[in-house]
This record gives sequence, structure tokens and C-alpha cells, in this order.
Amino acid sequence: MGKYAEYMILGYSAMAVILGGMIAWIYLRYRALQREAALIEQMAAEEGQDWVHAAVGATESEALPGEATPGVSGMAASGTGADRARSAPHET
Amino acid sequence: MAYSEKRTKILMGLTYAAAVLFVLAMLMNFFYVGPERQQGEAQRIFYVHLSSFLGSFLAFGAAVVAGIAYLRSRNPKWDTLGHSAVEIGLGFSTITIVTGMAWARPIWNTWWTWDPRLTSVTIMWLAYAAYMMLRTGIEDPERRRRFAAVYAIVAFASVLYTIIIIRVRPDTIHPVVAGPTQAEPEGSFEVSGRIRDTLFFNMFTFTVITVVLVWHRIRLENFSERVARRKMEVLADL
Repeated sequence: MGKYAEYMILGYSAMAVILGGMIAWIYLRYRALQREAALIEQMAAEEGQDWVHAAVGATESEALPGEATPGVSGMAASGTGADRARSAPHET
Repeated sequence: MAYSEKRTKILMGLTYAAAVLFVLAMLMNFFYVGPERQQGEAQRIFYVHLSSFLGSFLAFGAAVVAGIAYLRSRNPKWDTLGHSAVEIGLGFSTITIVTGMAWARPIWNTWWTWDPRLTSVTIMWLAYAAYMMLRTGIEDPERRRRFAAVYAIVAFASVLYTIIIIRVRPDTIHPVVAGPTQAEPEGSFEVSGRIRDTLFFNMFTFTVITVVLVWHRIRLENFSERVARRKMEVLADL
């Protein structure tokens, strides 16, 4: 090892750590964003599924017109399946 | 908005080229060029020290161009460029400072001294670190972009000051490799052939690395914005 080689090694090591850190930071953030994007898409798909279940349940098997509270809540727009299900006790 | 295949291919090609250039530059630094007579092996730090400063200079310069372009067009893509460039420039200026300290210890017998050049580069680093911190403190996106654009233009004065200071102040101990000084108003560039080759190759390599890193950082920022937008859409549907 030549004169002042330890300082040269120190300088190059510091450069490698900082440059490597910059690259690693970009890469790790990219990976984290990919995971977040996948999670969001999963949430969106599950939400879509819930919405379908709710709509089907309100108009068919889970409507339970006999147990429903009489009256109109005003929460659903008139003419929708959910609204028809709520108004069912008045019709029977 | 998805990136075109062509642009992605260019970026990937540049990324591989930067990696190969970096390996070649390190081989030149350690094997092609010999140690300097007086400074010994510590002189080899000079190649990455100067090249990383060039990288930060280019990145901060890009932030100025982006700042001016944003103020003229109000297009957020220029703000993304400015933000990305400052972040990468800050990383490169950190390399400049740390490698400079490692060189100064054996040559000046101290890690740090408040020499005009070292003081000015500290001011420069703090100015851009403040840019990063202040950006996060402004919530309104339009105000943040406008502020960042103006700040990036003004902060570049600290970069120019850092370059000029060793050429106008006679009391600096920092070496001047090229250009006029108080002692030599005509300017000079007295380095031997292999040192010059190695230095120029390192400068070219760090220029390519700077472009690649800023480009990757811009894509990351765009991806982050797309994810945030999609998240808002999904949350709004809940």
C-alpha cells in the first residue's frame, strides 16, 4: 500500500456508500410504490365485489321484506333495486 | 400516463452504460494512473471529488432551467425535474464534501477548515438541503411549485459563488486545477497526460450517472403521483 492509501480507501468507500445509498433509496421507494399500487388495486377489486354483493343481497335473498322497517329512508334513489326492497313491506 | 417502450429502452441502455463506465473509471483511477509524487494515493480521490462536483453542478443547473421553464409554462413536469435534480445534486455535493475531507486530512493535516471554498460549499449544501425541507412545508401544490422554482434559481448563486471564490480570494488554500487565479490571471491546466485522461473520463462518467439518476428519480416521482391519484380515486369510491 502506498503513501496515504488509507485515506484514499476512506474517500472511495464514502463515495460508494453515498452513491449506493442514492441508488438503493430510488430502488426501495420504487418497490414500496409497486406494493402500494398492488394493494390499492386489490382494495378496488374487493370494493367492487362488496358493491355487487350488496346490490344482489338487497334485491333478492337478503332483502327480508318481513323484517324491514316500514317507511322510506331516502338513502336510495327511487327506482333502484335497493329502494324497491325497502318499499316491499308496504306493497304486501 | 404510461412511459413509452422506446424511452424505457433508452433509460435502461443508459443505466447499463453508466454502470460499465463507472467500473471503467474506477479501473482507470486505480490501475491506469499512478500515485502523485507528493500527495501519494490520496491524490486519486481528486478524480471522484471533482467529477461529483460536476455532477452536482449539472443537477443544480438543470434545476435552474426547470425553475425558469416552470415559471414560464406552469407545467408541473418542470417542477418534477427541478425536485429530482436538486435531490440528486445534493447527493453528489455530499460526495464532494466527504471525499474532500478524506483528501484534506493527510494533505492539510485536518479534516476540515473554514477556508473560503469549504465555507462556500457548505453554504451551497445547506441552501439545497433547505430547499428539500421547505418543499415539504408547503401544502398547496401550486404555491410549492412556484416557491421551489424561484428558490432553485436563487440558490444557484451559491454554486457560482463556490466556483468563483477560489479564483478571487487570495487567502484560500484550496487548489485550483483549471482557470485563472490571483497568482495566474491567464489561467492554466497543468496536469500530465494520464491524469488528464483519467480526470476527463471520470467527469464524463459522472455526467452520465447524473443524467441516469435524475431520469430514474423523475420516473419515481411520476409513479408516486400516479399511485397517489389512484388511491384518491379508490378512497372516493368507498
